[in-house]
Amino acid sequence: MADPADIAHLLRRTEFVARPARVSELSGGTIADAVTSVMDFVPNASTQIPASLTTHDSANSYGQFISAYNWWVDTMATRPRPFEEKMTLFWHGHFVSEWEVVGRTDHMTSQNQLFRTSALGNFATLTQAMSLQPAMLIYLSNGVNVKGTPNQNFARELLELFTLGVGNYTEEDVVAAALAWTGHNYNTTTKAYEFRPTKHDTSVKSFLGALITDGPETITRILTGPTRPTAAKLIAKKLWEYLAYPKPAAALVDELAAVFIANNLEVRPLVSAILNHAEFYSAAAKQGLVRTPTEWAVAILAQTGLTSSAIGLQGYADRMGQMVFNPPNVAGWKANSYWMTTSALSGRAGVAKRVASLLRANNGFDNLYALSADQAVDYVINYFGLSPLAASSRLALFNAHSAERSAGNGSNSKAVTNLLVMAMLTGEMNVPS
Amino acid sequence: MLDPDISTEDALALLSRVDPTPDAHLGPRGWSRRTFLQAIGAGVFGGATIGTIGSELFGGDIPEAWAGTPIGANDGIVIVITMYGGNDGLNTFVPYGDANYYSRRANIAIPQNQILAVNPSVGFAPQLTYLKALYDAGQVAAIQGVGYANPDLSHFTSMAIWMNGSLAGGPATSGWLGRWLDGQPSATADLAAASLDSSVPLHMQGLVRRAAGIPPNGGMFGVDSAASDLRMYAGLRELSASSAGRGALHDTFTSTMTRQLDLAVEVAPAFKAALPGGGELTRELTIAARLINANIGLRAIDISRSGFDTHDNQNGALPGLLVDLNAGLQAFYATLSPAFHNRVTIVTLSEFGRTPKSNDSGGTDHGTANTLFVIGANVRGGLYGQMPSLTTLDRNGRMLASVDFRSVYGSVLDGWMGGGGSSILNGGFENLGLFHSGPGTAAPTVTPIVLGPSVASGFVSITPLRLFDTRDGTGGRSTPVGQGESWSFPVAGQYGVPADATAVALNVTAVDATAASYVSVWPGGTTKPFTANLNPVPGMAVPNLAIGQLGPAGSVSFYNNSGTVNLVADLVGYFTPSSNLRLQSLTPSRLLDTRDGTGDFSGTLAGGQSLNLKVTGRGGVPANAKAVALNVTVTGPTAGSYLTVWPAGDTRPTASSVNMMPGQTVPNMVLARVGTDGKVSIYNNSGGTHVVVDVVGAFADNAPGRFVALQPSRALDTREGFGAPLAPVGQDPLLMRLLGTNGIPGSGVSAVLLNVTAVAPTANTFITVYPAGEARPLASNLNVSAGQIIPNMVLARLGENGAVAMYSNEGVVNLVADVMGYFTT
Repeated sequence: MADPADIAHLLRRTEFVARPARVSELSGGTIADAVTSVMDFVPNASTQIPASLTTHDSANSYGQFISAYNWWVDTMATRPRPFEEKMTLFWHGHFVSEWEVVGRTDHMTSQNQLFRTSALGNFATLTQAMSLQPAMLIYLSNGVNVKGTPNQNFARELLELFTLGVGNYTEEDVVAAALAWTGHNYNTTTKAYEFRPTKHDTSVKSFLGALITDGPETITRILTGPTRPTAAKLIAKKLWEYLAYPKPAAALVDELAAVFIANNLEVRPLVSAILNHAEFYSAAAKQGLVRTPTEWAVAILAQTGLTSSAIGLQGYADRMGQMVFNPPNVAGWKANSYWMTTSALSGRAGVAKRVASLLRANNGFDNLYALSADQAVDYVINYFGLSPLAASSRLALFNAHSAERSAGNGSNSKAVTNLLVMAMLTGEMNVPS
Repeated sequence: MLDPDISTEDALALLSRVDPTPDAHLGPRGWSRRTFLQAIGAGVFGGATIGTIGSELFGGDIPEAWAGTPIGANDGIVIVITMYGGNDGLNTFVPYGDANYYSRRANIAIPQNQILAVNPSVGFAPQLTYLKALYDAGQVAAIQGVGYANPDLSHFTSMAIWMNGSLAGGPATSGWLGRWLDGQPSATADLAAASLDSSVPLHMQGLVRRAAGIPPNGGMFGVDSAASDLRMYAGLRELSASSAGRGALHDTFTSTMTRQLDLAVEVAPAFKAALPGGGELTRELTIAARLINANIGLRAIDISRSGFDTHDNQNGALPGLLVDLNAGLQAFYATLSPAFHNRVTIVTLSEFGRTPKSNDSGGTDHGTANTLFVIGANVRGGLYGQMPSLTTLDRNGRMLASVDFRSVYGSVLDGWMGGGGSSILNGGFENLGLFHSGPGTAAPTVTPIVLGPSVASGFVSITPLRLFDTRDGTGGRSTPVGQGESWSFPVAGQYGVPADATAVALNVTAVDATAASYVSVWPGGTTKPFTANLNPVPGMAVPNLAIGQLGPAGSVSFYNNSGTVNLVADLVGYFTPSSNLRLQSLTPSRLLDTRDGTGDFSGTLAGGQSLNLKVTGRGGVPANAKAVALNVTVTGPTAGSYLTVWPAGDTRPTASSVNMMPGQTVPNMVLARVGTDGKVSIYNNSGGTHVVVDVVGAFADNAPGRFVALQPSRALDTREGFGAPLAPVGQDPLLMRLLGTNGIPGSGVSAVLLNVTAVAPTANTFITVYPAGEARPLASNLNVSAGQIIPNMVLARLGENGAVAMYSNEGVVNLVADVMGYFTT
């Protein structure tokens, strides 16, 4: 029998929130059982992207982007097995493309669907597929990379960010890879990938100590040659940092990378190893991550049943620091202190006020009037899944709520609104542990 | 595509660490100075620059501590504009005078006629009109070739190096302005630095402090004043009053929320008025100006824009970004209170420049050395560093840096931000001297008196007339010109020169110099320009033709830089609007060479001997020419002597055209009136010498070129990389564009009057200046021996692209060129 606290931690990190039904469902079994359930995406059936987001509407380009944002965030909050979306978000933050640069929602959603269907698939297969996907072709310029003086944009990031990391390749490897990828272009008429033999450099290139000719061979060489362990470690570490905490010990990374390699770079066994690892349930892991703005917003959607568009979430995303479909740069997002700036938290406060106002509309939560201050505070804590709150946090909420009740002279409207806002801005809601 | 995302986990580990034995007075998460030094390892800063370590890691828990404190009367403010992605410095500050710029990036090069030229070599991109105006006002330091050794081509590694201000290995944990912030007094540090972004980039992270984040669209939380709102804010503050015991991140979150509440009140006034449209930089620079005007203690502000990673279709993206930068600077100064004009310095930076060679996608890849700008009322404007060569590259085909980026930081920290540069940067770097005065002090009020272009004028040639000789009192002065002395001599309305004369042609000779010096000639009563006409050396008589604009009172000024020197001036002509005698500029052509009999005179010209030289009808000189511009060179003189050139048929005047010492080769430009039979006479005073004469122009009625005199200005100094790469000139001609520079208009110019000085050639050589794009003529403008400094006036006809070519026949030589005026077409 697993500890419900561990199950809750597992669910928060994989399914955004520890929905009470899931906690009780999974607490009856072992951690291994729970991990298996979390990674079972069959109940999601096949997530379909709405047809309105898979064709480009030049007259409503930004509107499509907002719709795509709302659709995806809502999807994260409502799937029976949300870990599929959380892994999709991982790949989006790894194989980055920015809507602002790509300029077409259809390419972003097709990339999104590629990440979804490959969420726990084979890393090499995904890397090959993403390299020819239109959003990536446009974003990192391979779409216009032609022989002569090649464009190094994709070649460099493939090595630096996507697979090996700085220091594990030479500038000559970048030059060779850029040359190898020439001709793997984007056809601006068909809006699709196209190999143009006349634009492809057919010479033999020396790349990472091997002789290659064509672009896809670079990925094969990176992932099957002597650099295979380096790439395995980069992905294993990044996934650990995404799910557990930053800067894991080298031995832990080695252990996870060994699993990854032994399974031919299949992601599912790697993730399983992470989620079943004892260290994943340590205090360091439980206290090791700040909820990203998207994770925090999804938690609110899941708890309240509100939709992204009802809140107007996309309008707050930039200030909070995370706009899905539009990462800040090719390295994606960072963690923890990256999210905790005064400006970014002002964005979360804005959302909290908006959500409280929506929840209060039509006299929502008027039932709190009938409760004591103590009971009302506990009710809201439970409503947002924050139990148990730290004693000091609970006292702060209680003091403020009591003061508001006293000052309100019988009108408890503000007391309720403020309590809801404060609950969403507690450390427990933003850094759940 | 890149924005602040440098990983700061290491910084966070320090920032959020809970002191195991908190000092009661420091609060629950306070840091004592002792624990701080233990944590970072004593000696990182030498201990010297760390001020009192505040108790407020993220702003403290005490709202009262947040009251904005106005900055001190002499505190400087710095704004850093970060251009994420790697800005293409070559298409921002363009080496348009370098033909390699056009050959290596033909698909994205900015046409010469669009460049906002600073000099014949470099200029601003056409979008940067306001920045160019600031530059012209002397308020922009354009620092070229900035970078670091062994440059990294990764956005993230290179930006971490730039932001850290260190080349130290390992992950960067703090940045240069963050460490400056660490050293600020705790009472004011909370609001001393801010980043206008959702995240705080590495350069704004210290080891103990972090800049505040201000959302660039405003709307911070905590500005409502209803009692119930204040109670909610108090409740949120209470959440951070003590540790929740749920780990460091939890506590950091709550304390950051408290800091957010405090900050909201302070910055709210900056967002009350509507913000301008346009790009992010325009908006953020406007906010920055408002925050400075509010004087709440801010001294370091970070603003940024991404999108500079222009791998493809660069000309579709970069111009718009530069428009935003330009509009942002304009909005900033339009918003900034005049009281703060001399308090603010703006620094632009990017993680790297881009490749000198463009790719076939119409873009550029990650590069190295870059130009950055330091802008402000107290900045000593001008060019710094040198534009990197586009052909001498590193092994990866990237440009070589010549200025360490840390010297820019150090110069700003020490010159503007109160010092501590060497501690903050963990080492001393060259101080670039970017500021002529410190913050809060008025910039030196130099009100330059500069004449505009003169009225276009024709020439009047006269028989040479001695105006003054400071050795014997001719002209009223009988003492040498002293060190640093400026002396004015009135000319107009006297000596036959009409009152409406615009310029005079003087042959000036420096004699009896006590030190190697230079002499400047410029319009009397105006601000002395940084130009030179003669380079006197002890033991020699040094002549040069000076054609100088007359000042408001009709005088010419003379300045001697070192030692004392006697000056002798002969008037050879003047320019007046009423004359129709105009210039036909000619390709230099040899009329006389006594060494080979050219011009029908063979053998040395003996002392006391004269020769008559036919000039009309030769070398393109029209038959009706009234005067000619000759380049006269003596070579192999056997005695100290001088030549006099005058109109044939006239009485030989007391005047010298070329002065010589035994064995010297000396050139001088001579403006000579044509005498009987279209001839000029040439006389040698003593010994014997060969004489070589090239004609470079002729003055005739209804020829095209009227003369427009200009305030003298420097166009070229290869010793300083001014106007051309920092490299001496050899047999590969230096192309110097003159059209559109130095007050010369962009069209309607036939020739430019230059004073060209050859400095210390490595071999005996001659210099030829000729129209760019034409075959080099067999003619010399300057003859100079190894190691000598020799000036000469050059009438430079313009060739392709409004440029002239400069060639040295042997070895290499540094060249300096000053513009004196131009002739119209």
